Amino acid sequence: MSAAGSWWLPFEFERRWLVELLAVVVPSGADPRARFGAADVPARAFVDDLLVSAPLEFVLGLRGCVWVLMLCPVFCGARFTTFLGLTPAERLRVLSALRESPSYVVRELPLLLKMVACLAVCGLPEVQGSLDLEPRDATLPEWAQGTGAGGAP
Amino acid sequence: MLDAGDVVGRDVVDDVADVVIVGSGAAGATAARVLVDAGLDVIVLEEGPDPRRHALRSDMYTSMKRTWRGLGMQAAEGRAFTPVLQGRCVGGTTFVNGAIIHRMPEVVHRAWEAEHGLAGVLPYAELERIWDTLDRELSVAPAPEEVLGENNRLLREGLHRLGVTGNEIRRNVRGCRGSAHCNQGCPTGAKQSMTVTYVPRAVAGGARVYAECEATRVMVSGARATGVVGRFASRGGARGPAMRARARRAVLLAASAIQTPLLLAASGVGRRSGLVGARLQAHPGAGVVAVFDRPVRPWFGATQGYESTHYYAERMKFEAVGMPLEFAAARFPGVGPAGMRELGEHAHTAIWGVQVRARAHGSVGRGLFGTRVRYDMTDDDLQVLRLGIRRLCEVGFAAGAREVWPGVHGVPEAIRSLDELAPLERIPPDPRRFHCIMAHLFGTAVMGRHASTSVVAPSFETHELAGLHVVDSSVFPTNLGVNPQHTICSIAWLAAERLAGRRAHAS
Ligand SMILES: Cc1cc2nc3c(=O)[nH]c(=O)nc-3n(C[C@H](O)[C@H](O)[C@H](O)COP(=O)(O)OP(=O)(O)OC[C@H]3O[C@@H](n4cnc5c(N)ncnc54)[C@H](O)[C@@H]3O)c2cc1C
Ligand code: SF4
Repeated sequence: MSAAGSWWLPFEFERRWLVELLAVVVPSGADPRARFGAADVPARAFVDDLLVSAPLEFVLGLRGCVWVLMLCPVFCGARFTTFLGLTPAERLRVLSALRESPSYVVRELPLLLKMVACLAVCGLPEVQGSLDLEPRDATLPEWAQGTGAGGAP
Repeated sequence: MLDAGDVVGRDVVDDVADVVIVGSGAAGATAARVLVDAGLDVIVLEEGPDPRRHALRSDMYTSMKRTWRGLGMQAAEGRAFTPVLQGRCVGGTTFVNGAIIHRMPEVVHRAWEAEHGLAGVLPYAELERIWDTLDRELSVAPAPEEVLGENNRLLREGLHRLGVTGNEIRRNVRGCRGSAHCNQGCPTGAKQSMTVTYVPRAVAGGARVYAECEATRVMVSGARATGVVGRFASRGGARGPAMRARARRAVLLAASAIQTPLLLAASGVGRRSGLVGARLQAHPGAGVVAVFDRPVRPWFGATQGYESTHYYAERMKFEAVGMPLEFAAARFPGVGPAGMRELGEHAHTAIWGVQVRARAHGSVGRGLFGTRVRYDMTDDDLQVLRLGIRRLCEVGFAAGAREVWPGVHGVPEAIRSLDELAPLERIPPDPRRFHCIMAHLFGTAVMGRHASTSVVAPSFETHELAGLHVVDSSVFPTNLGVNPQHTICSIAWLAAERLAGRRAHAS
């Protein structure tokens, strides 16, 4: 079942959250050999494409994941802020705590976001090029065309 | 070949043939090849698009969107979520698979004869005759040294040092350049998937293939299947036309072990045995990453070029897995900067998988959101998986890996020696500790002699509805322990020959 034009699609603010979360799980400039992260690619265009192409359960799961992650400082850290309101160091602490959680669903959440981010980031020719991949297709994937971003800088 | 774009504006597409086949993958395309060769008029309905109509892109997401079922996001529910990977395009899963060719192990065949009432039904000598022909027509040969690449070579090296037998994989490719892109469809056309072999061959022989056309139900008249109804995909917001494919002789279901039982159930077949969609079997598998000081460059080499069936009796098989970058990056354990450091190691990583001949039975049915697959490995299966992961870690170190990423919750993400693997022995058999996928699927419309204990008779016709045949791995009484494409093709071939009443010519 495709999600095109349906009630279960995330609101604008949820999409913005999602894009920002992707940049946390696949960050830019964290390693000299893998320098491109989600913030360097037109992640918003990718998210919009994914949401209308993915099966309904996946979209609902992704929305749930965004909400849990965003609100986890309130419920787990008793802090009245969202995940994105935390400092970078605090975010990393939260992410590793989630990864170590005894709850299967909780520890899978960051991995779900990472999977989405990797599909976006690692599909771009310039990112593949920066990692020396051969052969590769110089054409931008359809979702990245017309974004003006030209893939990665 | 027609797809939804060719029938825009029509209300109904009506066609009639001797045989209507649902699905154009390993089973459906092979059956079409044999039936056309026997002079029968054939229609094939395929839900997915024809991938040859678009240029192949080297990003995985675009490939998944076009040619994988549910964008690759279909998952089995159980204690853990397990991705159930399938192709959905002309050529079916053979378009995206790893091109590994195996014949059905004799020990499995003997068990089917002795324990599942199939003595004399699928004679091994007949299957061997068909495999020989398939080998020739699909250019099956061991992966040559020049396209093996380091990912495969290192697995060979590690296994060899431990005294574990292995072999270059026999693959259905012609002129493979080792681009490790098999899961995206082969960019050079080297992989001899059904998309480039039996589907075009059947079309050249007069078969009509309707792509982007989902079969929804089998038409029944009296107690006989008379055709298939379906619908083309919508185009430009307009609903696609209905499809009515009438069959003079038979309807063949070859929609895979997940979709075939859904079609049977939607057509009211299987109530007597209660076995439609039950007894799903699989080969769940997990990957281990080995990191080397020397460059591995995993993007070069036959996608899957080296394997070991040394521990077949212990229900496990090892394979090198040339993953697309997107999958590899997602498989690396870290998140945030740690994940990026691991991605920076990509050029130095080898990925190998263990696949388990699991005893578990799952099920397929309709749920709130569409297809619902339920599957949970048994404790015993999980112990085999755990041992397989341990052995692959040993292979990694034997091959000279600097570190290994076992990918098991409760075990360090990166280990530098086998001593650090000790926690693996202590973790409970719980699927939530592992990250498995399932790509080989069986048993959801099992074959047998009695209507109360099986869905399909030895003639491949369903017990309940004359003229309706099932020719894919849904009919397998058990899984195989090896990659199933060749066995699926051979059994569909045999079923088609029996329907046609004569042996197919080999080209
Ligand atoms: C990533 C991956 C790698 C693999 N690698 C290997 C390998 O190297 N070697 C090997 O032996 N096996 C491999 N396999 C498994 C192998 O490809 C499958 O077991 C085999 O293709 C199954 O054959 P099938 O005909 O039953 O189904 P499929 O090949 O999946 O074909 C079924 C077709 O039916 C269509 N269909 C379904 N429902 C409908 C409907 N209602 N109407 C119309 N059409 C419909 C589907 O779209 C699909 O195209 C791999 C599988 C995966 C996912
Ligand atoms: S490894 Fe590359 S060239 Fe070889 S069959 Fe696979 S996709 Fe084609």
